[in-house]
Amino acid sequence: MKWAIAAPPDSAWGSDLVAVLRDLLEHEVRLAESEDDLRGVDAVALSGDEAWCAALATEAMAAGTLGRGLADYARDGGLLLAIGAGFAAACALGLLPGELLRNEPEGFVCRMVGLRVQGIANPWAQRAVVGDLWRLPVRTACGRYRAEGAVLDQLERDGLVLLRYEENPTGSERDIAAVMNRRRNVLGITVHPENVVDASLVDPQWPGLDSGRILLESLAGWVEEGFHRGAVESSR
Amino acid sequence: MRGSKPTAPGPEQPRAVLLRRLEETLDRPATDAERALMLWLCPPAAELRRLPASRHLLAAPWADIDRAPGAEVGFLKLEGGGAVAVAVDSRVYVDPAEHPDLREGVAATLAKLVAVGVRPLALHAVIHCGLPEKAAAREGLVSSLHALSEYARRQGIGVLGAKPLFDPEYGDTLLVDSVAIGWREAEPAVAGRTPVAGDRLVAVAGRELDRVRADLASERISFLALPTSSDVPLRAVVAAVGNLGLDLAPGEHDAAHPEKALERARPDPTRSILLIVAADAVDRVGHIAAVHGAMAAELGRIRADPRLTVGQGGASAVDLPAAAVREPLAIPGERSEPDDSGPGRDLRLEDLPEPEDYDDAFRRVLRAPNLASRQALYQRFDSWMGGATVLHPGSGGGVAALRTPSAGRIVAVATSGNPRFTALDPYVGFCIAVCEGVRRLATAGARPRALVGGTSFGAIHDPEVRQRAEQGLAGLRDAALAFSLPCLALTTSPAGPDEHPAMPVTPGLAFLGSLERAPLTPWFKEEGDVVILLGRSREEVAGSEFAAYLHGEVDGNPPWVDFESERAVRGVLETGVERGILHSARNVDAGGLALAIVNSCCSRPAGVPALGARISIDEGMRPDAWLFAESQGRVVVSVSREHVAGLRDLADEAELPFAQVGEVGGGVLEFGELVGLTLDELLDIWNGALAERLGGI
Repeated sequence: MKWAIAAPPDSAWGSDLVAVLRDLLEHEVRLAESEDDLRGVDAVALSGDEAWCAALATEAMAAGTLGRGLADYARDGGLLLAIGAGFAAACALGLLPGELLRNEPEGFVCRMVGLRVQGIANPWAQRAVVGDLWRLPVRTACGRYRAEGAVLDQLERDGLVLLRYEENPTGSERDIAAVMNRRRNVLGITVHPENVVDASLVDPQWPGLDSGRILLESLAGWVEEGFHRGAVESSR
Repeated sequence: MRGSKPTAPGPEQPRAVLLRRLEETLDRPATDAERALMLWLCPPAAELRRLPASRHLLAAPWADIDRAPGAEVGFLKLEGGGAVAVAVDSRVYVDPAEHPDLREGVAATLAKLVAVGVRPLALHAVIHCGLPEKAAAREGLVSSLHALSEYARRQGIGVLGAKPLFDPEYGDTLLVDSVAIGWREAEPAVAGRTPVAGDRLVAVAGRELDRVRADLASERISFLALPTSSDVPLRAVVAAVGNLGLDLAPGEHDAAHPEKALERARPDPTRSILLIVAADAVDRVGHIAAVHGAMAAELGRIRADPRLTVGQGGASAVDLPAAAVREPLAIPGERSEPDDSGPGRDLRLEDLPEPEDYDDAFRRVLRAPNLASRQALYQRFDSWMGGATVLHPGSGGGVAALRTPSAGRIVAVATSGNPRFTALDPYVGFCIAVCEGVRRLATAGARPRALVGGTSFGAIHDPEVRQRAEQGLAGLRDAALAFSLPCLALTTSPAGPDEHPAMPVTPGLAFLGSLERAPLTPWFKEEGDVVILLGRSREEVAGSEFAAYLHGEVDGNPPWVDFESERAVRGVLETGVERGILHSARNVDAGGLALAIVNSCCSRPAGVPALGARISIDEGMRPDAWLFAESQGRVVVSVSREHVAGLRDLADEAELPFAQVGEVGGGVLEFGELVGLTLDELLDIWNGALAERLGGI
C-alpha cells in the first residue's frame, strides 16, 4: 500500500507515522510537500500541530498548494485519514462536517481513552465488530467536535460516526471521536491510531492492545480488495 | 534554612566581592562592559565542578561513557552500538513575577544536545516549589507547567514526566531540574576540533542544523560545536579553547554589553549552535548553511594568549584574563569554619502523638501534595510525542522508559532527590537520593547504568552553602561509587551573586538504566496475588512526609542507609524479573508502605481497572510507623501464590527481610482493622487532591 504523509516538515507528527507505516506495516511511504506528491498513492495521512494544520486549510485557496491538493484528492474519492489537528483541517477544508474547538474543560489532554466502534461498513473498521472497545490515545487541546444538531442527526442516520468515547475527555458533542464524510473515504479522528500499532511500545502498559493496527489494516485490506477510489459509498 | 545555622549577613555582598576581586585581578578599574560581563557570567557551575567530590564523580575512567566539553552532556554507550545522550539543567527562578514558564531552562537543556548533534527524544522535569496554598507558588507552577507542555509539543518532544515537589522552604522560589534525553547513532564522522589560535567562532542558526553538520562532516571540515543557550555560550567557548583566548567582535550597539554579541546568535537555542572552525573554512560554512536555509555569522577569533577581548573600532571594551571568565566565582580564603553545632534534635516516633483515628489520618495523608496522585497533571503533557515511549508517566512508579530509535533498546529513566532529607543531612540525603534512584530502576527490571546530576545549592558563594554542597557531593560520590554508577553530566542552578534564594540544598538526580525486556510495572495485576514487603522496616519517621504533613515536624536524622541491603534488594528484583515471577514491584519511598500500596492499587494506566488489597499491620511496630515511616531499602512486590516460596528463597539467600503482608483483590483497601476505604473513595481522594489544591491544573 502506498501512503503520502502530510505533516509539518521534519516533525515528530510525520516521523511517528513513517515509523509505523513504513517500518512496522511495511507500506510504501512518501512525504507530501505539494499536491504533486499526492498522485498515485492509495491513501493520505494528515497530521500535525494546530498552527500548521490551520495554515494548510487557509492555503487551500491557492492552486498547487498541499492544502488545495488534499481537498481535490479527497473530493476525488481518495482515502484521507485526518488525525488530531488534521481532523480540524479536514473540517476547515470542507471535507467533513462540523468543526473542532478547544476542549471543555479547557486544556491539553493526553491519555489513553476507550472508544466504541459504531459501524464497520467502511474502509476504516471493516476488520472490527460493531460495539468493539478500542483504546487509543487522545493528545490534543482542540479535540471538541461540534456541529449543528441537524448535522449530527444526519451523521448518525447515515452511519457516519465511526467512534464514540466511553468517557469523553474533550467535551465532544454526543461523545463523537471520529466521523466520516458521506462517501466514507475521509475519516477525521481525534485520537491517534499510529500510537497503538507497535506492540513493543504499548504492551507493557496495555497488554494486547492493537486498536490502531486494526484500523490501519482495515484500510490496507480495503485497498487490496480494490474498493478504493469512488467505490466506497457503493460498497455499503 | 532548616537543618543549618542561620548565616549572618556579611559586610560585603557577593556582587561587591566579585567585582572587587575582578579589579584586584586586573589591577585597574573594570570597564562597564567588563562589570556587566562578569555579573552575567556568575553561574556557579564551574565552582561546583571544582569541588573535590565532583572531580572524582566525573572521572569514572572505567565506564563506557564520554562527554561533550563542559561536562553538561554525557553519552552512555550501549552494547550493539549507539549511545544515549543526556543533558541536564538546573535553574532557579527567584522572583515570582519572573516565573512565566519553564521554557528557558528546558530550551537550554535541549540546546546542549543540539550542539553536539543529537536529536532530543524526550524531556523529564522536576519542579521544586513552595506549598500550593501560596498563590505565587501555585500560579507560578501551573503557568510553568502549561508553558512546558506547549513548548515540548512544538518541539516535537515527548514529556516523560513533570513532577512538582512541594516544600515550604522554597517560599516563592521555583527550582526546575530538567533532563533531556537523545540518541546518537554513531560516533561523530569528524572528531571534535581542538581549537587553535586563529580559528573562528561562527554562529549558525536555522532549522536544518543536522543537515549542516552532516555536510560539514562529508566535506571533512573539522569543527567544534557548542550550545547557545542563554547563560552558557561564552563560558563554553572559553572552556573549549583551553589556554587560548578569544577576540569577540560585537555589533555596533553591543560593546557595552558583550554578552549581546552572543545573544544575537540565538533566536532559539534549539535551532542555533556556535562553531569553532579553521579560518579558511568560514566561507564554506556560510555556503553550507545557506544551502540549508540557515544563517551563519562570524562572531570572533581565537587568540594565542589566554585573554578575552571585546573590541570595537579600535577601542577595547573588555580585556580580561580568560580564567576570570572560566572560573568567575573563585573566592579563595573566604570559607567559613565547618558547622560545629553538633547534631540537630533527633525526632523519634515517641515524639509524635499516635493518631487516635487511623482511618482519618490515612485519608489526610492521601491528600498531602507530595503524596497525592499526579495523574491529572501528567495528562497535560504529551508523553506519546516522538513515538518512542514505552512506559508513560504516572504509571511506572517514578520510572519512565523509551525505546531508542534504531537499536531498539529500551532505556529507563528515574529521578530522585528529597530535599527534606538533604536539609537534615546533606551527605546522607544525597546517598538516599542515589539509593532511591537505583531502587526505582530496579523495580522496573532495569539495570542501573549511569546518573546525571542537576543539583542546586542556592547561593554557592555563601561559605555555609558551599560547605553543605561539599557534604552533599561527597554523599553523591560515595553512593555512586557504591553502585559503580558513572556520572554522565553534572550541573547546577545558575543563581547569580545577587540572588540568595531561600531554598534547601536540592539534589535533582536522574538515573539511566537499560532494559532487556518489557519493563515491570508497579500496579497490582491479579486478584489473589500475594503482597510481599522486601527489606527492613524501622520506626524512622524523621524527614518523612507523614511527620511533616500531619505533625509539622521536619527535624531529626534521615533514615539509615545501608548499601549492602540496597544491593540485596536489587539482586532479588533482578532475579525475580529474570524468572518472570514478579507481577508488580513498587519502591517504598515518600509516604512509606501505605503509599506504596496505594500506588500499587491505583497508579495504573487509564482503562486498566484498579485492584484493592488487604494488608496486615505488623504487631511489632506502632501502626503509624508501619504505615508511613520511610525506611530505605524496601520494595513492595506482588506474586502469584505458587511463587511465594521461590521468592522467599531468593530473599533468604540474599539475607533480605521478607514479609508476606497481604493479598490483592476486592473493592477495598484495608490496613488491618485500622484503615478501610472502598476503591471508589480511595480514587476520589487520591486522584482529586492535587487538582483541588492547585485550583485546577
